[in-house]
Amino acid sequence: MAYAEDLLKQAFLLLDKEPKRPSQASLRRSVSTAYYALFHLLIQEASLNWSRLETRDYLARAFDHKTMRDASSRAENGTYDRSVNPAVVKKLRSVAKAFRELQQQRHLADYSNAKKWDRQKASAPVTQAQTAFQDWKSIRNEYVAQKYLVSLLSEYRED
Amino acid sequence: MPTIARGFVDQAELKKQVAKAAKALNPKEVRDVEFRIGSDWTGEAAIFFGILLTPYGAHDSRLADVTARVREELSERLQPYNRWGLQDYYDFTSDPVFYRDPNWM
Repeated sequence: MAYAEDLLKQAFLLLDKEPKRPSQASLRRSVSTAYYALFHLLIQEASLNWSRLETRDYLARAFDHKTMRDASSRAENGTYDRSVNPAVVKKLRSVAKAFRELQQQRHLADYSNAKKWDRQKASAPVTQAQTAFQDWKSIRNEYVAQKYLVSLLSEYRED
Repeated sequence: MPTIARGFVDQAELKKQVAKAAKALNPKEVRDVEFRIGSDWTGEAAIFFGILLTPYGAHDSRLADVTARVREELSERLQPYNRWGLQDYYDFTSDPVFYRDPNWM
C-alpha cells in the first residue's frame, strides 16, 4: 500500500504547495494524484489475492479505468443481502462513490483548461480520497469488499 | 441499472426536489446549492452539484466532514442514480465570486 499512500500524501503536498495563491497546475495535479492514489490502492489490494508474487505486477496492469468505474457504480447503487452489516455496506458504497467521482474529477483536472479550480474545490476530492482510504482499511477483509475487488477487474455481475 | 435518458428527466420536478434537499442542509455550513444536467466523461447522464459553503463550513478543520456530509445527504435524499438515472458529482467552494463563474463547475 506504500505507493498509494505516498500518492495520497503527495496530493496533500500539492494542495498546500502555494498556501496563499495556489496555482492551477498544483491544484489540478493534486486532484489527479488523489484519484491515482485510490486507483493504486484498490489495484494493490486486489493484486494481493494473486498468490504468485512474481506476476502480481502484471496482473495490476490488467485493470482498466472504465471497468473499475462501472463496477464502482454498481457497488455504490446496488443492493446487498440483509445479512451484511449495514456499516460495512455504507463504507463500501462510500469507497465506490469516491472512486467514481474522483475519476470524473481526474478527467477534468488533467484535460479541461476551461474548468477553474480554487483550493476548496480541489480539497474536497482530495479529502474524499483520504476518507476512502480510511473506510477501505476498516472493511478490506469483508466478503463484500473482496467481491468488489474482483468486480474491478472484470465484467463480473451478480445476475 | 436505470436507463433514463437525461432528455426524459422531469427537470421541474428535479429542481423542486433539489431545493427541498438543499433546505435540509445545515445553513451554518451551506449557503447555496445549484445543479446542472450533463454528461460525465464516459458519456453517461449526470447531475453536477455546485455547493457554496459558508466560511464556517469551509474551514480547514471541518471541510472534509462537511463535504462528506453534504454529498451523503443530497445523495440519500435525491437518489440521483436509482431514481433519476443520473450519476452525481459535487463541487464545493466558499468564494461567492468563484461560485458565479460559469466555468467553476
